[in-house]
Amino acid sequence: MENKYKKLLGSINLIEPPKGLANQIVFRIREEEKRLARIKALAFGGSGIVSSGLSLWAAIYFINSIKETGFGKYFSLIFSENGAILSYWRELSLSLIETLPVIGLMALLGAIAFFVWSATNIFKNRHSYGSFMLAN
Amino acid sequence: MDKKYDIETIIKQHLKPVYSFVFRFSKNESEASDITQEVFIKIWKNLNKFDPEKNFKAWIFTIARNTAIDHIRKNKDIAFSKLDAQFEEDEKTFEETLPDIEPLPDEIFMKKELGGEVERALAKIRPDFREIILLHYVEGLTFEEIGKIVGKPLNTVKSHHRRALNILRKLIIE
Repeated sequence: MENKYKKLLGSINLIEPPKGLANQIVFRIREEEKRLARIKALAFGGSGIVSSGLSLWAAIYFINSIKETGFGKYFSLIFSENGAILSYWRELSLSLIETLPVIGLMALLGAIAFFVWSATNIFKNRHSYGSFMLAN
Repeated sequence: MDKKYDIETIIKQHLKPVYSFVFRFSKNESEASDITQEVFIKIWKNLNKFDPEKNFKAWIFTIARNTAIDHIRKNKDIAFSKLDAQFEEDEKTFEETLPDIEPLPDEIFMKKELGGEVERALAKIRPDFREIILLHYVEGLTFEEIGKIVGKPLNTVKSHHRRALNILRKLIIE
């Protein structure tokens, strides 16, 4: 019985879309692509600039912290008096841990991670920047 | 996956069915064009989220249906939820006395311009019945797939289908 209904309803025709609709859709998608490229260029470009500035600041802060805490002096001992290191390695290790500028190190690693993330995204979206540049 | 090239193939393959489906919702060429554009932009944006194990056509029609409803709701201020509630109320009383599909007389196929009559009858039935008929008979989707598209249980889709066929039969015979 349903076959008759299939035959009957199979006569329903698809409605022809207006001419140019497909092109309009492709055009709108390209416009959307350009808009997204613009947003990505601004976002990742901005984060790239900010992260490189942050990395520089964190590196300076880390170097100053090393100087202030004396970590550098203890660290340099490793490469100077080998005999003394063997005798006092426990004391030296403790001094190194105590003077390690943890905050400066974390700030530096965080800033580097942020920079790597930004650089990766800039690289990944390099085609988008191309279309963004062409669009402007 | 390069979205741009894929979407152009998708547009070529699915523009006509999507436009037809949307047009039958809105009954207005310019509105149907706007909705169709929105549908394909949504498809393009969400292409990466599509689960390849699922039916692509069903996914497209889910987007088309939701976009059409949102658009019509926004522009015409039709409270679809109110309509749905009313339909569900009807459904409750109807479920217990669910009729079988009545047979179609052979003479019906002798009618001239049968296609036109079917179209006119289709335009007169409830939108939720119409979409089931279109998705099943025109797009070849199963009742299970249609259930997922319209967000209704399989039995409800089947009962709506039966009711729709009986209403269509009456409209065409009269």
